[in-house]
Amino acid sequence: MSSPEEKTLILKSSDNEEFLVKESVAVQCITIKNLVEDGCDLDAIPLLNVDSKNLAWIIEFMEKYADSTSTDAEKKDFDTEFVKKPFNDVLGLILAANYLNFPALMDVMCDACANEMKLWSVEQVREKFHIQNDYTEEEEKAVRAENFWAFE
Amino acid sequence: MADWADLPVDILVVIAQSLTLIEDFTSFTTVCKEWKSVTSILKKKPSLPTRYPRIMLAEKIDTEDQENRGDQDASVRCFLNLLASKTYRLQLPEASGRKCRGAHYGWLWTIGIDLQINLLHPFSRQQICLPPMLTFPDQYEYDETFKPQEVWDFFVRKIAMSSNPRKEKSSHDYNEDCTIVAIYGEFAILAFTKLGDTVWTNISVHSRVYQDIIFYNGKFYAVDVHGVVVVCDFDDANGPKATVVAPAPVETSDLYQKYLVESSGRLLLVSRLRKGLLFDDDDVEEEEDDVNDEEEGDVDDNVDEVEDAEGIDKEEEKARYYTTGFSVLRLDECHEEGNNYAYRLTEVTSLGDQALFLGSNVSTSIASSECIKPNCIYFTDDNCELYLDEPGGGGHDMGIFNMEDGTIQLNYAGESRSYISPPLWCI
Repeated sequence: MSSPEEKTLILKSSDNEEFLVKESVAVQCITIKNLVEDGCDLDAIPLLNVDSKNLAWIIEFMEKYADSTSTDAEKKDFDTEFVKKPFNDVLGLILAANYLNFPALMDVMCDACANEMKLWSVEQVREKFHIQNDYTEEEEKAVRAENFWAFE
Repeated sequence: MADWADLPVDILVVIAQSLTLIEDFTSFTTVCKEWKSVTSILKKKPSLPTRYPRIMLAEKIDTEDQENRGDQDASVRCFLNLLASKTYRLQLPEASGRKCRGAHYGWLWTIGIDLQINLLHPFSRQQICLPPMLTFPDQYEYDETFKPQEVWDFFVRKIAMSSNPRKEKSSHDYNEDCTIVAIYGEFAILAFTKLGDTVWTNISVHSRVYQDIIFYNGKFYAVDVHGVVVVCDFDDANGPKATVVAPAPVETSDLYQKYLVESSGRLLLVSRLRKGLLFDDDDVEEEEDDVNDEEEGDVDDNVDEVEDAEGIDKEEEKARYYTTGFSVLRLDECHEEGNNYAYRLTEVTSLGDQALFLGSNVSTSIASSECIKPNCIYFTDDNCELYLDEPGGGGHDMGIFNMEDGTIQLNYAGESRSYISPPLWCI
């Protein structure tokens, strides 16, 4: 039986691009880890909900985090640069991290999302997330009144 | 393009848990009904700081507001919002009858006659228990006439913390990595605990009467009444100890209360100058008592000392103590050969765009904004040893000190006093 740290997996994006990743790196994604442990013997692991753009980023992130020589400070610097992406890409990575069940990436991307939201008004949040406000005027007033002290 | 409006609930939960300010969290609930229902899934309200500091007023309701007195006085606390300059009330029975002091990250800490010490978050109303008062190593000498219950409101002076005591995304009730250092006891020495510990442990110190502690660049620093700054080392083979890192400042006095605060990445040592009946005015160098009438913006350019504090318009009963100004020194790293200290002290005349918030809380520096003026020091009354000497209690000695012209303005027009818990910064 080949030792796990030498084994390489092929990950296939939704747009059929293939990426080679060491198994020890890829199993940071619990979805992939479960597939491997269940004895998945496909040539390539299809990731139907992750396109090649996102998968390339995810692999970049996984490799940084699997690297035992990088310090916490280096990871933090890496994170700071990594999250400098357009907001739609940030959300895309959050969805992909959720699908792949990759907690470290999820945390970093959600923190970045929360950071951006700090600067937005409620209306801007709705715009960026393409959300329709389904409160009536009275309902919205009532919700604001619950936490009146937080609205300035 | 994916439809963000249909984000799965479990993603929305993680985003909600990643928010860092209370205001962001409450805005989250007003985006749409689904987002509000997501926040109901979270077990409790998050324990987050507010965008700007707020003042928590003393326990009695503002004496001007007589008609709202009711049976619920004791369980309600008033907060002052700097931006809107208005007060609002929150249910906070957990603070009633207890000594409350500001801490950090939106938390307060309280101690009561039960000798229990708790961290309390006024907006989420969460509490985290710290080891109780009697677990500190150096206690007073108690006997049948003098009990621990006589000193609960003096015993612990101040605390500082290494991080937010709560991890929102964690299933634990508290952040096990959070370390708390306290100034305590008859001699105001240092002790620490980690969240989850059952006792406090002394930090070995050479001097006594510490006045402030701060977590800076991964370590705890403390300053004593003489202005000597020490750094705490928890990994020493002989046990936790504090070592001196800077010489004592030359032009200061033990009468000036000392603070340590991080501002623009550097450590500042701030001295608070007070005058009043309880201070011997002869000790203060330079100026004679120059009592100017309060004209707005009235600045005497020859005086590099500061004007007397503007009093509230009442009968002129001079307070036993009041703040007249602050002086600021900065600790600069010192790598010269043969130098005994890691830092030297440099005078600072301007805080730039920063404002300092000093008082019973963890000393903090915040960038100026629409409600925070730059180059100012916002202070509350933390002269707790003298609260009992003031009629009505402490709480009068608060305001905003302008570093540029040395004037002091009020930050709260009303009066809020207490013998145990005068107004404090909730940061």
